[in-house]
Amino acid sequence: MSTLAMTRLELRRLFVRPLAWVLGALTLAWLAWNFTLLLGSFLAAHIRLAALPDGPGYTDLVAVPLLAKLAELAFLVVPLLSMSALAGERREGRLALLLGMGLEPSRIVLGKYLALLVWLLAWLALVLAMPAALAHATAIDWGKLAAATLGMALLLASLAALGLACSAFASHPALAAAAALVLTLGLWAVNMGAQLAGVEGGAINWLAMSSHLQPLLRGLVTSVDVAWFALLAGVCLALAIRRVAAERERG
Amino acid sequence: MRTLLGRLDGWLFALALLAGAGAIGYLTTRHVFVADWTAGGRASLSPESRAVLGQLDGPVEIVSYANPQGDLRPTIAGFLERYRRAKPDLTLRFVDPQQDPAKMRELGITVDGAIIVHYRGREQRLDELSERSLTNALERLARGGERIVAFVTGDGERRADGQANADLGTFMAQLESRGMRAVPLNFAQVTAVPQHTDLVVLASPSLALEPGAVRALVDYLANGGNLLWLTEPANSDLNLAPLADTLGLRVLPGVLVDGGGAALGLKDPRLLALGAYPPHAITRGFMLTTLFPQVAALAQINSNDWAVQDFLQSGPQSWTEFQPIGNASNSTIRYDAAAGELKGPLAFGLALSRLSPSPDKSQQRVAVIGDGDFLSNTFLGNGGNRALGERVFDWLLGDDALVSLPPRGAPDRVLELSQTGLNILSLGFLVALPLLLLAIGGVVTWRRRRR
Repeated sequence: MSTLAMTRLELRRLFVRPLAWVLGALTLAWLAWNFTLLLGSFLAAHIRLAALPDGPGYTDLVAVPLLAKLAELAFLVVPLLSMSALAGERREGRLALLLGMGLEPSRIVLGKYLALLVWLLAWLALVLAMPAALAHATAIDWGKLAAATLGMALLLASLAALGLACSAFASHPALAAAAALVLTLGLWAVNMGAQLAGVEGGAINWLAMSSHLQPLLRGLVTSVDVAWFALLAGVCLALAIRRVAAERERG
Repeated sequence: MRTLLGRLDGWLFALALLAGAGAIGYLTTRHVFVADWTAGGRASLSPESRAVLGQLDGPVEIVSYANPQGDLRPTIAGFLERYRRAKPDLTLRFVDPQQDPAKMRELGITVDGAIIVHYRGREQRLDELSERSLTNALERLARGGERIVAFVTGDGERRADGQANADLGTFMAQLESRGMRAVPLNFAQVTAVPQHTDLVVLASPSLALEPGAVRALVDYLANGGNLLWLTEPANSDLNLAPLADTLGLRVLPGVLVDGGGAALGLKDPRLLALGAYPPHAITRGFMLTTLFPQVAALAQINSNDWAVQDFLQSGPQSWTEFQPIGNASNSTIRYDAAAGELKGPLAFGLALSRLSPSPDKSQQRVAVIGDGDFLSNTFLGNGGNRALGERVFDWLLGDDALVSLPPRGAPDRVLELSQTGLNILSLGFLVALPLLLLAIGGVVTWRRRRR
């Protein structure tokens, strides 16, 4: 059984349960409401903005803030989606079954991870459809939107890996979700105190997620930021695989 | 034992993994590749700003007086990030303005988030947070920052370096630390105002000026020079009528008297105390009381291409008194409309600005104040006199050769959208899409239950 087969299995598990559908529907409704509000305030001010020489535009004031809202939601949605991926399987005895079939731990984890990514990227694409639906009405700054989208995709990918790692270590899905949420918030705000104290640069700011997402949302793609998200995802996946492998040894 | 070893093995693996990740992360911060994907490179510095940063060959310190609460500090730090990417030795330091209110008053920090840029012992203040203003401030710092302020001498004016009661020595000594250099300008020695003079000050001449000197001043104005003219109540115009005509204003006869000063315990009606100012760039956020002894009122007589604004105005109880007032005995003065005395409120500080005739400046600025005593060594310490003087000089010198940054606005600032389109869009995403997802999820779950 290959990684892709595992992915198919996991996607099917997401597909036949109501959780993913309800989560998707409610979050999209909430984001559409935010999009409407942002668009309304932009329409109220866009004539005045057009008069400014260096004024911001539709992408800066509607599309990117909408993606920032998506990031806020993702802190909660990704742990909810990934919490049962390993912890739930273990409780229902299916993880032991899969391991007993001689499946590699790395394939189990990566397969589930890819399934999560497919769902999350579809979610991101539906959110992107909202600002992109107005492409005929204005000259969207596609470059900036692409950078912000890349940032969001990296964020979702690293959060999914973090949620999966928490799910691998926790005994209960709810614990996994809580741990993933706390770790995410901790990573996001680890440098708040340093920023208030006026510390610039340094390891603490490098460690914080916010300092890597914001440049991407501004349209700057830097090697440091992309590498940071890749490192976070890599570390979390390696820990999850290691944990599942340890379970196989224990039988 | 085996489980303990297994645990230890797991911990060691996690530690090694984190150490490796940290090492790779450290390596990535050593060599940074940046790509700006925005339209027109809006998120990074323009080539013009890069050129200005290239001229600065020392460390630049930017001090921001922003409250720790609120999101002003991250905003400022995020904005300065693009400068720090191009110039690593540009440092940003935050100071909490609430920690030391006295120092803030001394520095004249009134708005939250005020920014002062330091470079080689000189400083520039920023009035707004934009690439345009910061690049221009850096340009001024790079250019040397010595602003030449020429004081007209030889006609009994107040001296910039004098220590006598009526001179401006104390005030100018404080301005020199801010990068202004006062030089004398005597029209007996030169026939025109020298090049590279940033500001000419005509401080209360007491003798009539030579026609040549007045002509030189008028030519200087016509070429786009900035001027500060302090005048006093006097019975003659000291041959300065051509200058007044150029600016389109008149010094009104008589001395301004104001009964409002009695509330502050001022015995002399010629002492004007101001506590409120008409809105202008000079007096924005300025709340201090200032004291003006013996003021002449000013009036705008014809409108030319100057935009004229009052920034000092006497109270409604004031008028221009023609009767002489003795210093020794009590005098009885009253408003006499028949004699031609004018009733307040009257302006005695005018700020004039226009599009500069000189190609390398954007705005020409002139300030005319009907009193020079308020900056003199005697009266400088009263209330906000010094702060007001600094504001006047800052405004007059605040505009010089600018770096012209091309406007780099977003390409999508205008949105052509009908109400119908907006309705379809909002309803589609807000109602139809979530309902569709819920319906699919419901059908899938229901079919699974039935099987």
